[in-house]
Amino acid sequence: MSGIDTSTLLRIAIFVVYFGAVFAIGLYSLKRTRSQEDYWIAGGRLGWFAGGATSAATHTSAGTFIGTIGIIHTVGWSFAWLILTIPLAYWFLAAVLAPRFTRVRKLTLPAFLEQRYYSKNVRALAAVIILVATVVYIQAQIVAAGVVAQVAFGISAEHAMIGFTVILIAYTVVGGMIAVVYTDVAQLVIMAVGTVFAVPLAISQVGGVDALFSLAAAANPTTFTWGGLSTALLLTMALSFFLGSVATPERLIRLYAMKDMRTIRRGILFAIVAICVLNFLVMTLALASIAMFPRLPTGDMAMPQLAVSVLPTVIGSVMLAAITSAMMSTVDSLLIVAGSALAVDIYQNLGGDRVGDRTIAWVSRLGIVVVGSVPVLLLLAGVGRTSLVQIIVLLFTALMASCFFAPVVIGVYWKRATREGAVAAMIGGLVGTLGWQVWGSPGTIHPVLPGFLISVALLVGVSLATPRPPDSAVNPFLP
Amino acid sequence: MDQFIYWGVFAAFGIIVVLYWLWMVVTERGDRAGPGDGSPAAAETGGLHLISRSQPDGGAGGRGDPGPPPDGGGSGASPGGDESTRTFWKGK
Repeated sequence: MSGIDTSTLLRIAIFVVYFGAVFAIGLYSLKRTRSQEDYWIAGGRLGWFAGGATSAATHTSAGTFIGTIGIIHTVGWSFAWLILTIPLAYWFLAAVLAPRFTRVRKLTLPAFLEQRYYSKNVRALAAVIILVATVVYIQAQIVAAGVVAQVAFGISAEHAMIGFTVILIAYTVVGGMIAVVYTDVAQLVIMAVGTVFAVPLAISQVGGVDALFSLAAAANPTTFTWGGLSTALLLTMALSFFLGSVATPERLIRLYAMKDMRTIRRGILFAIVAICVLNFLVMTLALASIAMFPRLPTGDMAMPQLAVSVLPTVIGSVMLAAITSAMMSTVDSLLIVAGSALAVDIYQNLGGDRVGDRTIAWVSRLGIVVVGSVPVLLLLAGVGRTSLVQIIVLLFTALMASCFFAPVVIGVYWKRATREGAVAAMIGGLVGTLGWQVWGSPGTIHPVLPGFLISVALLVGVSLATPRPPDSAVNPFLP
Repeated sequence: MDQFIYWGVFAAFGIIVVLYWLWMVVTERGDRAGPGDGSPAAAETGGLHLISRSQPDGGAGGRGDPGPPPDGGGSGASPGGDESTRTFWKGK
C-alpha cells in the first residue's frame, strides 16, 4: 500500500462503508418488492417524509454540488436567484398538476400519455425521447464522478466512471424504486450532514463572513452584481428550471409514489425546504471557493478541491460522499425511468398481452443495465466529454420541459388536446430545443424558450385542426 | 457589495415558503369542509384515492374505495397479482 497516504486511505474506507450500506439497502428492498407497482413506484404508498426526501434527493444532483458551484464560481451570485423557481415549480406541481395528473395512477409517464392521448405511438415516442435524454444526463453525472475521484483518490477518471456505474446499476437493478427511495433518504441525510459541517469550516478558513464577501468580490468583480449573466439568459434559464422541475419524468413519477394528495402537499413542502436550504449552503461554499481558488481550470473542480484541500479529512470525505450521493440519487431515479421506458413503454407496449410479467421483469432489469452502461461506454470512447456539468444538466432539463410540459399540463386542463397535437408538441419541442442549441444562440437565450413555445403552439394548433379526442380518454382527468 | 443581491434571495425564499404553508393550510381546511363523498369535486381538492387507478398485472387493484374526509379514501392496498408474479419480484 506504499504510495497511498493516510488521508486517502481514510477516504477510501469511508467510501467502502458508504457503498456497502447502499448495496445492503438494495438487497433489503428486494425482499419488499412484490409487484411491478412496488418496483416502479414503490407501491404508491410513500409517506410525506420518504416522498419528500426522495424528491429532494433526486432533484439534488451533481448539477448542484459540482455544476452550481462551478457556475457561481464563474458568473457570480446572480445565478442563486434561479433557485427561487424551484419552490414555485413544486407549488405548481402540488396545486395545479397533481390533483388531475394522479387521478389515474400509472407506472410511467409514457403510460399516462398513452391513456390521455389514446395512442400507443404517443407512449412509444415519449419513451424514446426519455431514453435518449437520459443517456445524455447520466453522462454529465458520470463525468462529475470522474472529477471527484481524480481529485479525491488520484485514480483515473476512466476507472472511477466504470466503478461508479457498476455500483449504481447493481443496487438499482436489484432493488428497484423501493431501493432508490431508501437510498435517496440516506443520501439526503449524508448531503445535509456533509454540507452543514463544511460551510462553517470553509467560512472560518477564509477568515469569517466579512472576509468571505470581500475576498470573493475582489477575486471576481461580477460575484455580487447582476452582470455575470445577461438578463435574457438569466430569465430563460429560470424558465428552464421552472418547467423542468414540473415536467421531468423522474419528478412526475414521484407523485404516483406518494399515497394521497395530503401526503403530496406535505412531501413537496419538505422537498422545497430541503432542496433550497441545501442549495443555499452549497452556494455559500461556492463563494468560499471563489475566495480560496479564484483560478481553476474549470469551475467544476471547485467543490472537490474545497473538500480535499480545505476541510479536515473526515469532513472532507463525508463531503465527497455527499457529492457522490447527489449523483447516485439522481442517476438511480433516471435509471428507473429509463428502464421502465424500455421494458414497459416500448417492449410490453409493442408486444401486447403476449408478454408475461416474468419477461417484463427481466427486460426491465436488462434495460437498466443497458441504459446505465451506454453513457460510460460513450464516454470511454471519447463521446460526450464536456467542460461544465451544469450546461448538460440544463440542456437535459430544457429537453424534458420542451417535450413534456405542454402535453402533460395542458392535457389535464384542456379537453380538446389530441394525440396528433401531443405528437407534434413532443417532436417540435425536441427539435426546437436541440435546433436552438446547435444553430441558434444558446449563450443569449436558453434553448428552452424556443422549444417550449414551439411545443405549446403545435399542441394547440394541431389539436384544433384534428378531430376531438374521445370522451373515454379525457373524462378520467377532466371533471 | 450589493447587499440586496445576496440577502434578497433568502428573504424571497422565506416569503415563498410561508405562502406555500398558508396555501397548504387553507387547502386542507377546504378539504375538511368539503363533501369528501367520493365525487370528482372532492377528488379534485384532495382525494386522489376517490378515482380508481389502473393497475398492472390485472390484479393489484382495490385502492379506489372512498374513505373518510379530508383525504377521501384509505389506501386499500392489497398485494394483488398472481402468486407467480409476486414470487418472481421477490427474486426467488
